[in-house]
Amino acid sequence: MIIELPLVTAAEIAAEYRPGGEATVKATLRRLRERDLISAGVAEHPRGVAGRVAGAWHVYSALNLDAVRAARAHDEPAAKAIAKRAAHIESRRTTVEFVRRLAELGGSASLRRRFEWASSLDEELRTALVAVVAETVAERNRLVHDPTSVPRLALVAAMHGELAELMLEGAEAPVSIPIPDLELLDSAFVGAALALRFERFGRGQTLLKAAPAIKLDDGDDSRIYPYERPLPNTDAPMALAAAIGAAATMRRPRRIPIAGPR
Amino acid sequence: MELPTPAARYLGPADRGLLAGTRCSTGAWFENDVETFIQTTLADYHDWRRAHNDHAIVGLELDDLGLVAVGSHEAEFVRDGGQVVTSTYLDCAAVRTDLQGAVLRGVDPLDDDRPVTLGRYILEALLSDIAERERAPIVRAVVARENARSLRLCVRIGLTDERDDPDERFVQLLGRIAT
Repeated sequence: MIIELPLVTAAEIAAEYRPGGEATVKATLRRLRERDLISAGVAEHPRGVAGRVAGAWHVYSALNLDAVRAARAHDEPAAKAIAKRAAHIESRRTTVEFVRRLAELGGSASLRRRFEWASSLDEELRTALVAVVAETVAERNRLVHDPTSVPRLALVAAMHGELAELMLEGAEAPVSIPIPDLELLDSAFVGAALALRFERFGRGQTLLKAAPAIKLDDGDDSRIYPYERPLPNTDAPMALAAAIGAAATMRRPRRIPIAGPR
Repeated sequence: MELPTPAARYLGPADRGLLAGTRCSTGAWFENDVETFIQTTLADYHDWRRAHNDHAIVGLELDDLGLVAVGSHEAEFVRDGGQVVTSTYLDCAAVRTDLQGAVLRGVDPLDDDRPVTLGRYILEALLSDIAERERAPIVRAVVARENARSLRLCVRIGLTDERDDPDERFVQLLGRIAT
């Protein structure tokens, strides 16, 4: 089972808001916070030798990526609604405790490594991780209705020269991505799990963004994401020619009034 | 058991709690699957998909018994006669466990003088809703091969064309509504 990371850094939010932008992360996030377009995040101050505070660790619900994407599309009401749910997730006692435990796992480790440790070393942390992911995915499914925004989970299947070949869940055709991009994500190795997001920018322009994900060794194969069934696609209609005749087989139904809005 | 005619109502995300309490399985694996889908997924599934494929949930309710049956459908695309048309996929249809087989005394039988059961009526309500949407009159359902009761009911309403499902445990049933 592959799961996306439920927490992201300030830099990831800034990059989602302004892909390729040059404004500082701090300034970008301050402006977004002032307009309630992202949540406050969860800050932890892990303690080092002799109990001294050893820096600050500040992470945000991954829903903030969806919030800033909406903000970038000038849909501030949607961004605020998503940010509000992100804040709700961040304020939960279980999330705060989970972040505190993550913060204790190695001062310089990447977010991916921390989550991998969380999922492999400690059953309690692993359970907490899956719970936070489940809530994040459920909230996104409720609030974000653009199919391309749903992260597609993938594994690095092979490395060829400058390109890594990814196999996407639910797809047979592989996708390639430059290896240097994966190196930045600490994910340039066969078997690395990734969450991919696509975004269309007009004719012939699609942005592909990769983020680290986690592959859990056990657990069932069904994703937490509950809508495995793909949406209908006019490019791939079902071929029924041999399965259904031209003659009607069902009588015209009697009309049964149905109350309420459709 | 006989029941009065239930009222049909569109259900949505606000009915999540109602759906979560739906019991429709008598223990068979295929009934468990449907019950779990209705209890845990259907409301969110509908909320996410309705904007894309006209997904609808229809519930049947009685004043003193609450929700007695539920079903859902959505649009899909099929190639029919060389053209791509919008048809219908019947997602699910289920009757509350303790009311399975109950007959609706106020509903006239349509075609074979058989009394109309709750199961038949929820399918008729779904088909009535489907007929009012701008879709080609083709309906497809996926039914477990072991689910003899549902297979019989589907054939009775006219889902008579069969084809294999990629999952061997299931069969796809298709029908064309008279226009």
